[in-house]
Amino acid sequence: MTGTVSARPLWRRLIGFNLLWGIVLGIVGFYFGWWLGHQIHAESLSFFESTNQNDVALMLGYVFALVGFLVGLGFLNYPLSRMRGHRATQAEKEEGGVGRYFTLCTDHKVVGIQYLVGIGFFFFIGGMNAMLIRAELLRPSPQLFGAGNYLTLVGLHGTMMMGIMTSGILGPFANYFLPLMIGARRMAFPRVESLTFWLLMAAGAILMTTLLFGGFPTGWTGYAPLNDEANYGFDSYIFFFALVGLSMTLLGVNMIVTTITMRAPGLTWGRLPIFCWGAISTALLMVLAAPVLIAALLMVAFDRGVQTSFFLSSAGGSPYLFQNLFWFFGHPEVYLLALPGFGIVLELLPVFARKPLWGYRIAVAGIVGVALLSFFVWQHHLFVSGLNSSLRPFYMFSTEAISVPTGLIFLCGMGTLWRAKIRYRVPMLFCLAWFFNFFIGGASGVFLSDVPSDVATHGSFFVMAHFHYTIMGGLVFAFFAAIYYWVPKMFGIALNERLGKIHFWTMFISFNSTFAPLFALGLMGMPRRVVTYPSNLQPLNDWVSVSAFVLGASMLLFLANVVYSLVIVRKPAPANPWDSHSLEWQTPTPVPLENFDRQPVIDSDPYDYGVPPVPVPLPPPAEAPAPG
Amino acid sequence: MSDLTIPSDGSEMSDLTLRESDVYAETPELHERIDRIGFWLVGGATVMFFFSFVFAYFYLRSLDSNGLWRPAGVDPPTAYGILIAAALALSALAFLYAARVARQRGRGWGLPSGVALLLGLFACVAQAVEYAHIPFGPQSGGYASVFFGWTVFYVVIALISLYRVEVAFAAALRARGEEDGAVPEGLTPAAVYWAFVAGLGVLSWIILYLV
Amino acid sequence: MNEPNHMRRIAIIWFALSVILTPIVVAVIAPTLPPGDATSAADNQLSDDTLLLGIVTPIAVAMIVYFAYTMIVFRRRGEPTEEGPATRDNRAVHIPWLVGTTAIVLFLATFGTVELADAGAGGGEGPEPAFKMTGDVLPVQVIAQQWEFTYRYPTYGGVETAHLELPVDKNVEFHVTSLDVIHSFWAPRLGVKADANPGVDNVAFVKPWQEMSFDIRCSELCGLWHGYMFDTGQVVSESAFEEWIHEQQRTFAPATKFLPKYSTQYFPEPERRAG
Repeated sequence: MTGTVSARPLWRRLIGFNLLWGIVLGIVGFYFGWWLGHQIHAESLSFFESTNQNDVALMLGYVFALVGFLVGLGFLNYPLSRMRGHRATQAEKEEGGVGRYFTLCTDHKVVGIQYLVGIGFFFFIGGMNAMLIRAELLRPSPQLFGAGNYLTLVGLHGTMMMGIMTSGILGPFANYFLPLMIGARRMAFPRVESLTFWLLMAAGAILMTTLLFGGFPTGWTGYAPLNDEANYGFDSYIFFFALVGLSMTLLGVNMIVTTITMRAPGLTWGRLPIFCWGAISTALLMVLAAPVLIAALLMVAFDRGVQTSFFLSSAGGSPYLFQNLFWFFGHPEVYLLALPGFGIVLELLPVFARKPLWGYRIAVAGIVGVALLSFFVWQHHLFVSGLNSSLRPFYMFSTEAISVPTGLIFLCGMGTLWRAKIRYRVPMLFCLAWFFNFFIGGASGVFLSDVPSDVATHGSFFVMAHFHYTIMGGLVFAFFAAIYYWVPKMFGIALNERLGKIHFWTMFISFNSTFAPLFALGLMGMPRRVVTYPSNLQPLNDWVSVSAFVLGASMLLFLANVVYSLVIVRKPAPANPWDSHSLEWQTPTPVPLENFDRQPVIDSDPYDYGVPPVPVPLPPPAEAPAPG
Repeated sequence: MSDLTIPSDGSEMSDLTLRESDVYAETPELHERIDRIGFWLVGGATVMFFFSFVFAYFYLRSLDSNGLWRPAGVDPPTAYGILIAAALALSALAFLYAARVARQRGRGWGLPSGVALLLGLFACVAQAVEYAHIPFGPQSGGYASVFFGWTVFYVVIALISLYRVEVAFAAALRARGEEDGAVPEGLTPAAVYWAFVAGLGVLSWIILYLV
Repeated sequence: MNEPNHMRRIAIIWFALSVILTPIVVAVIAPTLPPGDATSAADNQLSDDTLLLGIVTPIAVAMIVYFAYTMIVFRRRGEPTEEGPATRDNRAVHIPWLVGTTAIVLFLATFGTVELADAGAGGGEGPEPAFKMTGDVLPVQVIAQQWEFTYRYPTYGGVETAHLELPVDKNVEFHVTSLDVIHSFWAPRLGVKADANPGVDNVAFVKPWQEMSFDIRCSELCGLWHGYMFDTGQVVSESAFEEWIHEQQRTFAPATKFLPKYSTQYFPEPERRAG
């Protein structure tokens, strides 16, 4: 990546297809769509005249804002040249310097870093929302924000995390490292790869604009028909999640095609690193589940915009339709948050245990099994909804059956640790914490899958504790493990080990101290998303809030570590600081534009750690008589 | 895993070797394969997208909530339906023929892909015209909702899919003067995908107009 | 090389801890857990929770003991690193593991189904409940709307009250429905939770076993004042209930005649924010 830094002056370099012009054209596009929406008059839209909130104008505004944004970034250049009859080309200009991080760049390593920073930004915003939520819940009745703003905060936190963090590991780490791990020079669709990132950023920006339009009161699930009477701001939820869905679908297609077609010679399916298995299983869920979400949200947009009645039972529709479609996506969604974590943890354990990954094949079976089963469990979100009561035993069984492949993942982790030589570096600590958190999350999931137990806990803080244990305890811990593990490769600079360990212990302890009491709160009758609670629950809620603030502070510790290590000290990392045998560590740092100067040929899987077992143990050395 | 090699010497750090190889250059076959598998996956995603509308159709129909699934008079004009489905089917056939000709002779795919493009665009325009002549609006119950949602987004997806048809046509125009007129890469997968999308259009005609 | 038998040590620690902890969890902690056993449905839920806790506890102990043991015994400090043994797989371990987890899952699902078959364990089962209470039942309709619950007693002239009272030791059949958005009728001590969907009759069964007062909350996000949608109900003796309901009938007689006829579902005009 030794691109030549242009000698042109700064103002000249700012003119071109880049983020600046994307934003400018995006804003222009928004106002164009807004104006256009107000020009449309039709019978079914006449009711907009009785209010000053024209949904069609806002939706068209978002559509044209997105178009302007993508044009400004240069995404139309290549399709237009193809449409004028020019040939397909891979020779897109790679601009050097910092500029390529702010534009369409087809280098998968640049996209990986773009993702890391972009997702980190929105993760931070989502986390801030959580802090504000917990601040509000310090008192049993609303003190800070009031009911409406509180619901907007809850919705923003949930939507941001469930939307942006779907690509939390695939975006930065699979984009960056999957081609390196499989010995490829690029992703299969490099422009699509860049598109997924900028779509996600556009989505995040659109979700933030909900604050300008009054927020939305529906939480991340956006159930109909509440979404039909929800305020103006709900349109940004629709566009956010639809764009995230589109981004996910394209990302998934790209991952799978890359893995199938671009593997280096000798990299058979049986030698594919387990992280790649996690990535492509996630990708499969994305490809098959996200379009259902997009379709459901477009139906909502139609219900709000042109007065169809998909979800209005009094006008020929049904709210169950939305619940079915949403959770048909929604359950694979939570597994596509968890699966990359499985991949990361099993990928990193052998490196720090100095042993081969134990039971590679059953680990693959576990990951693929979870992915496939996740399509057959969605009605466990509807156990008390009144839907299909005769099918409940089936969904109870299929949901509990998920613990079988998940158990295989645990078995592989346990087998890898057996008689290992464990080194406690920061990534390893996060991986081991993952097992602890995910076990609690999984065990509480069994309670939720068992219908009688679920009736008591459904829709309560128990559920919230459960999915924070699986998603925050699973995904976010794996996310940090991956950051500490791979930052030396991505930036050539290692994060400070001591600060990293302080970060880990603060985060691990405060995480458990935050979410374990929520199980109790749920059982004691506190539903989700309420701004009030009985005063006898206040001590526990205050405990949770204070722990949550410490958890938030641990994220600041991480930021401090990033600034300290990457900006202030800048101590170069060794070429292979963890002694990993994986292919990505065999490349030079920084990774050259074409990744490998020669075609790598693979003749084993990347887990060939350890000494082979000695067939006959040596007899203990006889006590030699002391000389003299 | 069966052909796994465990290093005999524990001190060996890595046996992942970087060797000189001549397979590094990307071949047209690789690009064709990328396109083919990519279109399969995009096809899967497209199916799941329309599956939602199919599900909505049958689900709302079976519930007939408040008796408003399909009030009397909510019938789309049959002539338009047949016109659109026929145009889509013919367009798909034309583009499949274009890909076949290009594969066999390396030229002459321009005219059939142009025809395919025109027919595809015609289908989309016919759908838009139909909205102006339809005896019900989007607010007329469950069936009307599904009809409008499904057809509008079908047109959007058809227009996106026509991109590759247009690319093939434009490439043919540009290659007119050249002797070896380069066949655009991935023409066959693109043709299969467009046929697939057109097939979904015919399927939507069957469900929305006939069932 | 006097390697101790690690597996035996782990097994011993696990066994000792499980034998101590499991009875404590099952016999001491579990009975104190919400939702208690004041009704048939709550009892179903609690016995399900108790069984699950009884199974999860030894598994959790096994996990913690295994991980703690390996993390402590097999740790190494500093560099350069030693390499572990290159063991890759052991069929003798993962086949029993697979069989064991599958057996536990099958057992749990079966037990859950048995508890569920007892009238749906208090969960909302929709208009055609698969698991019912037979015999003499008292139907009570719960009507949810933004942001309150009201209750209709169809067998008492369809009177609609703002307060829920139930007779003790009598089978109750809740018909939960909504007039606008999705709510959820949750009475934790009663062990009942059923979503209130507009245009849907969601049936849930319960038999209260003792007189008590219980909280009611909406547990599905239903808009601005969701957090304020709570209520208190009472389970009273049969005679007190009769007295109360007749008083309600008298008090609300002028209002009752203007109510729409009792129905399992109502279709008011859709609530559109612009409408």
